[in-house]
Amino acid sequence: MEKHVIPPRFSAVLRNRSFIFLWAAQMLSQLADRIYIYVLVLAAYTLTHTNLGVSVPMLSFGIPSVLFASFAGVYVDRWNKKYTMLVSCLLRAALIFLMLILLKSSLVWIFFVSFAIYTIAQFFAPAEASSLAEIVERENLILANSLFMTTWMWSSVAAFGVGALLVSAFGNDNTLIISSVLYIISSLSILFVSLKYSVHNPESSVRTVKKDLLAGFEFIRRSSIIRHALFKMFMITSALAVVSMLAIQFAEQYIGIGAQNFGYLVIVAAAGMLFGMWMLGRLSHFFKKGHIIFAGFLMTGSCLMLLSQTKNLYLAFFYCFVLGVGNILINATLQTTVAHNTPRSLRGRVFGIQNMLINFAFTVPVVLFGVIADYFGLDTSILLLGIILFIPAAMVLVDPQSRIA
Amino acid sequence: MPSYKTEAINLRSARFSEADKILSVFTKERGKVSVIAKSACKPSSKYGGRLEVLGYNNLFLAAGKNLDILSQAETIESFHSVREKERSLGTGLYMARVLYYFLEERVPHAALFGLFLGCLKALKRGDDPDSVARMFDVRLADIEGFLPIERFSSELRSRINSVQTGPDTPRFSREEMENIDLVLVPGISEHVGKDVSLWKNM
Repeated sequence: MEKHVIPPRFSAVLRNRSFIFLWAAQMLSQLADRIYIYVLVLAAYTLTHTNLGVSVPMLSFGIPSVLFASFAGVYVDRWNKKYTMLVSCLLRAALIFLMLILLKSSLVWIFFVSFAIYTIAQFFAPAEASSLAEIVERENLILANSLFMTTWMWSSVAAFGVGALLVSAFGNDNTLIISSVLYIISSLSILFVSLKYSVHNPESSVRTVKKDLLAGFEFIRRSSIIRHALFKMFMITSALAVVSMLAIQFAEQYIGIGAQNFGYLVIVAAAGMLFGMWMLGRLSHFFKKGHIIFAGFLMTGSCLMLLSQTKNLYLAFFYCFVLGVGNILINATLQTTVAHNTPRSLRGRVFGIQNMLINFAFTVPVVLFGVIADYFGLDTSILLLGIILFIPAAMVLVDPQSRIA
Repeated sequence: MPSYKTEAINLRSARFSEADKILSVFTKERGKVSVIAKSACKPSSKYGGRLEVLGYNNLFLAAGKNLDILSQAETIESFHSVREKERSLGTGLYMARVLYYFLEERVPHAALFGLFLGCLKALKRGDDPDSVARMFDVRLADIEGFLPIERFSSELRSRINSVQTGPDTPRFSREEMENIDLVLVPGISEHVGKDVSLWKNM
């Protein structure tokens, strides 16, 4: 139990040795993952020369994350979290080595091995989120989460650039080896993380996975804080996934920088996340989490509505920057709310279900808004998205339970 | 059918069919387990008063699919004195109910077992039952990682911290108890799915 309550400080988070190792592991595995995706998409295109061919590896990433994320959470609660992360990284490294042989053979093999890699990856995220709540002091968790989310975004953005550089310099095979080595370094980093608390569960063989998973869903059903937090997380993630998809058309038709340069909008949003992280460090001590989330939704919703009406390049960049700020304010605060209000024996399952919802947010809403944008135009769909983001903010005004998360 | 021996505290007991009892016990090694005690309601039952709620026994059980079957029970500590006094019984039952709804079946939880046993011993020792109930809430939330310590007043915070390692439960004032309830009761109620404020003495 904490002895004193002190304002959250980045310096305190960065002095935590276990946090640094976990953070490094997250960045390295994220970088490895994105580099691997880059090579795979390229290889699939080389093999088939069709867009359908490119969608096959994409499916192998998407399906396991929606199907197995919640089940993975059950095992995370049963197993030692540190070793779950470590084995997950090592297995992925081994499977990427296997991919070296299969890369030129057949798309079917690429699909199955990628499917296995992303099934194993589902164990990493809930174990990592649960471990983070264990190694960081309660008052600093919000900052630790914001650091994790910002670097997650930055490593995702940077990895595609790094992937392109590596492929042109060393070729596909050597880039895959680099990706695999990054996973191995990530697992070494995990080795140095010391977890204060780890569930040891000798009775797990008696209990069924279904029963444990239902207990996780039951907890979410009866905890209004967690329910509201997950709903809001789904809303903001869906909105940002849709915006990323619409950014290509927006860059070409609205601000005239060309579809190939839509990445600049993403980079500006990532810069906004950095600023948001700094802001969160200041705000979290003075404002309640519910107020920060409320402000974040108002900011993001208004920003999207304004973005739908602009054709000015600099204004568009500014709005993207604010979107990044809003995203980190909402997501880091919600993630902290979930960790603070979930018993540690259930955290793996709750984070697993959260992971499933987040992955789901990248699929159905994106397709739905793709159709809306085609029928009603880009500006209408972004405007609609902005209006939808006012729903969680309005809920805070109407429902007192929603105010807490 | 594999059999095993375990230390357990009774959380709940209900009559089943004509002469049997179904118990929910908190075992040290296997967490919350549902147990059937055959012929426990007969006047000539070999279990006597051992199956009363809050009884702390060594149980000999045969593992079943849903219910384990009780074959023998030996008293370790009966906590008879806790059951005799209305206020300490209220606190004992409050803790048993919270744990009954909080614990998952067959998930071992040594820290919570230790906490429950420690609180029952504190009640037996004669510590203030209302304070024991609040200390139980604080420790439960701390063990499970959802204690919002920053929401307590600084005096209460230091008081809770100072007695964490001590053998006795602090005697909280009425104001302090209200502060603890205000902060913890909504959280615990969410986790157990019931309004726990209705189960308390105050």
